[in-house]
Amino acid sequence: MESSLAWSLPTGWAEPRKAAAKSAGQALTDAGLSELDEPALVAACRSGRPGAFDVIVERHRRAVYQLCYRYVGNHDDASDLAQDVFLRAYRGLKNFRGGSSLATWLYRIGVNVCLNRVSAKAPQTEPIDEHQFVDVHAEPASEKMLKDERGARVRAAIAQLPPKQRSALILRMYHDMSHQEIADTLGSSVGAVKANFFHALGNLKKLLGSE
Amino acid sequence: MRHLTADELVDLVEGVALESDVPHLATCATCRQQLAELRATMAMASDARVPEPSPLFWDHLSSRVREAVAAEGAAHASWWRRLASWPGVMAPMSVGAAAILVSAIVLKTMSMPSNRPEVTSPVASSAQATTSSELSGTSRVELLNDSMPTDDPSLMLVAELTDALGWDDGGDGGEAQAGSAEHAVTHLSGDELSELERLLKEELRVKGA
Repeated sequence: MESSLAWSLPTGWAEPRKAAAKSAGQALTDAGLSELDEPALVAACRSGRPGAFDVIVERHRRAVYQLCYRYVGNHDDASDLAQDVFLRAYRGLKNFRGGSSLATWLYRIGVNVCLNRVSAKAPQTEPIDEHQFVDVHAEPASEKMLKDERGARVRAAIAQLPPKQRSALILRMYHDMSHQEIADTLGSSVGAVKANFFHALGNLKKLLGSE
Repeated sequence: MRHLTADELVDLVEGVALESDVPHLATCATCRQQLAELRATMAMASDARVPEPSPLFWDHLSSRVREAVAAEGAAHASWWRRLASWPGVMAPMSVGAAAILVSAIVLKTMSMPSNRPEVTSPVASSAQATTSSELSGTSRVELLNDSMPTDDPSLMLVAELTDALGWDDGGDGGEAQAGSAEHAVTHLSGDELSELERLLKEELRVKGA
């Protein structure tokens, strides 16, 4: 049994979905499609209904991009990887059986794509504020800078974790997935996921403490 | 003393298990410290937000995906179209398909036993039987068993003469053309024939035949 996490989770699914539905890209899609639930949307996509896959992208693009960013640590690679994840999803949608949620299935694709990338290319974390949208009304600049600096340190440390530990940490902490969902995504057991999560936190502490 | 396992510590950190449910924590400073460090690390990690890209980025990402998907679909559909539009491939394929179809029809027709008695010239038959390799075994046996003698010179002559005749030529065979003496004689009425007979007998009598 999984309870809600003790720490505050970053923006996950609900908020981006509402925001995405109102985006300019929505004008290109059939208005009725955005009202469909997940199975109906997948069925519409499989039947070749125009705009159906656009709605899937709009619903999940933020989460997929953030997942990719967690792995590679920079905007350019993350946007390339996010595009790749959706393209692979489009190719494989005919094989999607609905055994898991579409989000979990997309995460599985995303994790594989990202692990393939980071194993072939060392992550290049970008400097603070590069490609970032600065909302000047949100919080004082000094406080934001401190947060950004801490965040950059943590992301750089996460990027140094072994792949399985990194995946367990990212999916558990930043994408609110249960251990069972992570196990399904990674093709491992719940026990292994918990162990990887535990060791990921221990190694993260060492990495952050050594700086 | 057994310390808490990774699984138990994760459950405590995530709030799945309560500290009050784990009596060992009250007596083990090592496990308490480990739990505190895990909580501190998680709190620090939770602050590591992904930088928010420009608001325009999301539509840009959707456009990129849309273009990639469209290119994927176009590439998938166009390989066959490209093949079909390549004359170097499709023209020979069309000719080959047509040749195979015609050959199949011819072979099928030739292999079917015919119920109609064939009117075939012996010369042509023998020529066919000896030269045509496409004939089926059945056809060849029929030709060889033909009851017409193939060594009769007169028949061979007739066969040669009639071989080039068409159906209409054959139908007209033996008929005199209109306006000729033969046509007039063969088309006389009964009275005319009687009168002709009388005239011929009278002529013969005059000559003393």
